[in-house]
Amino acid sequence: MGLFCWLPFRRKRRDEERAAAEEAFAARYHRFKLVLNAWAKLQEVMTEMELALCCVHPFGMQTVRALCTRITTQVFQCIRQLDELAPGRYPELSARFDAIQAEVSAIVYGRPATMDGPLALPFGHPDLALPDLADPALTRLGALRAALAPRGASDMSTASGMPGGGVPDGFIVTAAACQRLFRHEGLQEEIGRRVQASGGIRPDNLLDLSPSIAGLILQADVPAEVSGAVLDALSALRTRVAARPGAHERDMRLLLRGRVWPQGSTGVREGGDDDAGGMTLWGPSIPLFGDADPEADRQRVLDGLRATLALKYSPQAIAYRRNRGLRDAGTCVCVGCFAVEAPVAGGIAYTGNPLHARDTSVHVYAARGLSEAVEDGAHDVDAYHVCRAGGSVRLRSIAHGASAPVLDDAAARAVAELALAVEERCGLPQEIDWLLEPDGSVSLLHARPLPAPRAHLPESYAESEAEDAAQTECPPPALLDGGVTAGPGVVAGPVHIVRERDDVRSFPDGAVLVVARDLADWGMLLDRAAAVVAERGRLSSQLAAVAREFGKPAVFGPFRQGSPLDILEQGAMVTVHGDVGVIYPGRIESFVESGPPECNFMPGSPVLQALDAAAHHMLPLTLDPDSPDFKSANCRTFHDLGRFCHEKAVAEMFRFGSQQRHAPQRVKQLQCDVPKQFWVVNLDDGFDGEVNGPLVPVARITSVPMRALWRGMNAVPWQGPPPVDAKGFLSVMFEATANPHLDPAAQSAFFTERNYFMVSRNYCSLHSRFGFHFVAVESLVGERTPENYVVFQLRGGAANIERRVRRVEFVAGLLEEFGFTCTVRRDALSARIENLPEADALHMLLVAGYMTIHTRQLDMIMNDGPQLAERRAAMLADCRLLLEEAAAAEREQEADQASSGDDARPRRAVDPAAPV
Amino acid sequence: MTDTPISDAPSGDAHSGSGRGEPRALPRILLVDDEPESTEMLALRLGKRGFAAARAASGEEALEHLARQGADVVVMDVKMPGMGGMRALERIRAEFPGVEVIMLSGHADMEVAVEGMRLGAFGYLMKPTDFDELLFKIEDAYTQCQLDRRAAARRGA
Repeated sequence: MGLFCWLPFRRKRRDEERAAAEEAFAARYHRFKLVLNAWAKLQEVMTEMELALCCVHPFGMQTVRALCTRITTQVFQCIRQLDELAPGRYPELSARFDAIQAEVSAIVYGRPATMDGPLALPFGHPDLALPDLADPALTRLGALRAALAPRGASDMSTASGMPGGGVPDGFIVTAAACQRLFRHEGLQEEIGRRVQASGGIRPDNLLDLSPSIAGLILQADVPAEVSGAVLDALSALRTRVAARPGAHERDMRLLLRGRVWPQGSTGVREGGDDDAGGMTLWGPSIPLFGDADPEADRQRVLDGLRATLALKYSPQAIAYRRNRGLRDAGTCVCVGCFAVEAPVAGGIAYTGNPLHARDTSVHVYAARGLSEAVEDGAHDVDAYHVCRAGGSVRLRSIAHGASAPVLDDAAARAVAELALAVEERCGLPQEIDWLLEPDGSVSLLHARPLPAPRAHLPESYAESEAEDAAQTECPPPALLDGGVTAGPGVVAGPVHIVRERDDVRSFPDGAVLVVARDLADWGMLLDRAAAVVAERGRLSSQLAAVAREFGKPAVFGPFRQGSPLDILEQGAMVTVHGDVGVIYPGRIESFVESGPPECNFMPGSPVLQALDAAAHHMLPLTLDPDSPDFKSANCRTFHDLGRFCHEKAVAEMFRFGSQQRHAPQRVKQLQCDVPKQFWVVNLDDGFDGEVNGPLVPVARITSVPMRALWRGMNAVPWQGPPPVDAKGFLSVMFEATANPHLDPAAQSAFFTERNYFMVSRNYCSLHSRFGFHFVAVESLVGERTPENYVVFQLRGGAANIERRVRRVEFVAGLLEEFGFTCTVRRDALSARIENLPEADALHMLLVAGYMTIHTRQLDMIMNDGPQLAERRAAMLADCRLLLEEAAAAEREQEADQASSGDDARPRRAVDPAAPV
Repeated sequence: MTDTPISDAPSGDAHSGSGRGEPRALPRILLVDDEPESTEMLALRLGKRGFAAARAASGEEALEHLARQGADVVVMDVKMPGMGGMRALERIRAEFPGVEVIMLSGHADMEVAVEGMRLGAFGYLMKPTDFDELLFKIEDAYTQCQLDRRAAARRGA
């Protein structure tokens, strides 16, 4: 009686224990899988970071921060889940993580220090010399103001309005003030968030992102200290201007000119070739003597300031900074406020030719109204070439359709004189922005060294020579000729006509941008366009200047044949010969080859420097799992941490499964032709149920990846070298294993004893050792394509190190044929393939299984070239046959499924272990 | 707060699921974001995959919802007016153990990400999120939450 009661009780207790154990395994396996996912993801993001470091495409700090954050979260996940698997065993990991994260964080988030110093200063104020308070060009302007003012002027402080002109009176809203505005109430953070949330700055979102950010700035609250300083400076300016005779009869304006420039640049570079990526924000012009109502006056001024600052995020400004690799946080912005009389004309002048060094005449470009009319491309522009010596106007090219020139000769000469005065003062050819006021005086708004013509250009002013050279190649008849060079160089690409802003969205990389006018707006395409062709334009436009800066050929009409918008065909390949102003049909190889490479500003840029420095703490692998130094305290990078966690997580899973109380259920010997050689550790659901006895038959293993791997290992008998005896391949395979102490360099305890699989339904890891030959295969295969991967690792060998290295290179070459990415370090190979559908992953496991067996002792023949080539061909043929068989079996099964009409079951990949 | 009806039957069992043949239970998901368009869109997409999702517009609303109806997995924005995602995460972990939280953020802010993970977020994803990645995270979080509950029940027994 007592016995009958007791037995069921015992059985129940045993069942409960078993259920508890199963749950414990399921829970551990889930943690383990989270480590595997995080480690795989970490490697994926690290690869992305490596690609970014190649800097083929421009990117911004948002990309850098996103990459770093993604890597950091994956590493954190690895550490956290390992700690769940082995609580408290690796306490140093956290400390290492914190230290590395702090280093990375300082690099990619290190905000420029808060700027001190005055918030608004009049032009020429000595404090403007403080570093980074104002754009170097604006600071220079202050010095020029004093230098240009005299010339018979009685009142030195009021240059504007004096015949002969000079720098107008005005003040600067400093970078410190603008920084306060951007940092006020989290404005800059919100801008960053919007950029991040739309996936970083991309060509396809620029047109939506830019107005969204501009809207934020237009609504921003201006901190009281900034608005106070601006209004005080304005009030002082008004007092000075009002003191001049007749000031109130004139239509005096306040002109807002923002300048954006990379922090720390001096504006004076060796050779004065450019001012390192500075750009002008053409703000509004508002009446200088404003509203009688102080509040309305205040609002109008602050609105003008906000409108100017919002231009920092115009599509072309964003695209420009991105292409130059400038950090948004590291660029300063300030606003110059000029008091001028509403001008009759404005424009740009070069004291040289930006394309031809030997052309020394002064090039004056003029349009009615403000000087930006010349740069934005939306207005008709006159061009004048003024002789440097005599001041005679040598060439006058009046805007298309205009009846009279904007400037008479005297005015053109006055502009040229001002430009030459600046050049004399600064010692280099200059590019200036000027205004012609109603009284005939010419004002200077901006001056910077003229970018020198790029070195590859023909020295002479001889377009005809280049044209001659072109003729000797016998090119096909030109589609368009007679255009002027706005940017030199030769390039070929498909035509993409852009008529309106929406056409920008479909603009393909590397296309030839074809437009009606050289609008500054199209600057947003210059990072993607191969060349620019405009029906009409001037080389003074911003579009032309940026094209030259980025090394893109640009040809502007009018053309002899008519409008490029009518003549060029959308999508058709053309060759743009910038040097001679001609567009040819098709791609003319000999021309394109002769062209200079385009400029890539990413190398050496602030953004790349930040990424590079951060990558230094993340990407290198400095730990060797076989070394005694493979310890958590020695992890120096995020890669080390991830690698360490993965290795230890695998070890923990093995340790737990082989614990005495679980081992009888969880660890079995694989029942195969040669028993007692392979061990299988069931991590979760790798068997089809409870397996009694010490052996598990292959048929009862439900691990999808293991079945594929096993099939790959057994599909083709191994045939040496050296030639095997009659005992067959398995005996040879295990002979070496018989003595586990063959290798004196004691490998990590893991590899020394047994060949074993660790499995669950979707996971398999194989560690095997055949003599000196170590192979590890790990794979996760399921319905989640992005998480699937197969890793094949091989190291060791019996031959000397040179042959072993050659062997892993040989194997790497084979695996690359199947799409694996291989890393070789000394005699160790790690080959990885990921993100592939279940069926494809199983195919790759067939290959990995084949390689597990057939790469043994290859090191012995590494010096025999012909034998090696033969072996390579044979191995590739074997693998391809395996894959074909698997594919055929899949087709057959699909056909069966179709004919049986059993469609309810989701179609699964064919079990490759099924008999073929 | 609206519940999105389940449109299609769940398809196939993902490999994170029980995988043992029993019909897969579906997680109760709560989406929290102050921008209603984003939770609406997400709920719609989850609905198409057979996952029902409730929505809340703030951390406060999320806590109320959990107290009233409960949930298995919370997907929450970091930056919200009011108590904010981080504070809400802290409170959910303290007051509703067994509910897993996945944080979504428009900020590529490493410190915030690490802080979120330290506070017990199951995952930290950046916007724009790859939908499959989020879906896998939700499934994994749900598996975690089931395993934890079962373990807790066994300890209780």
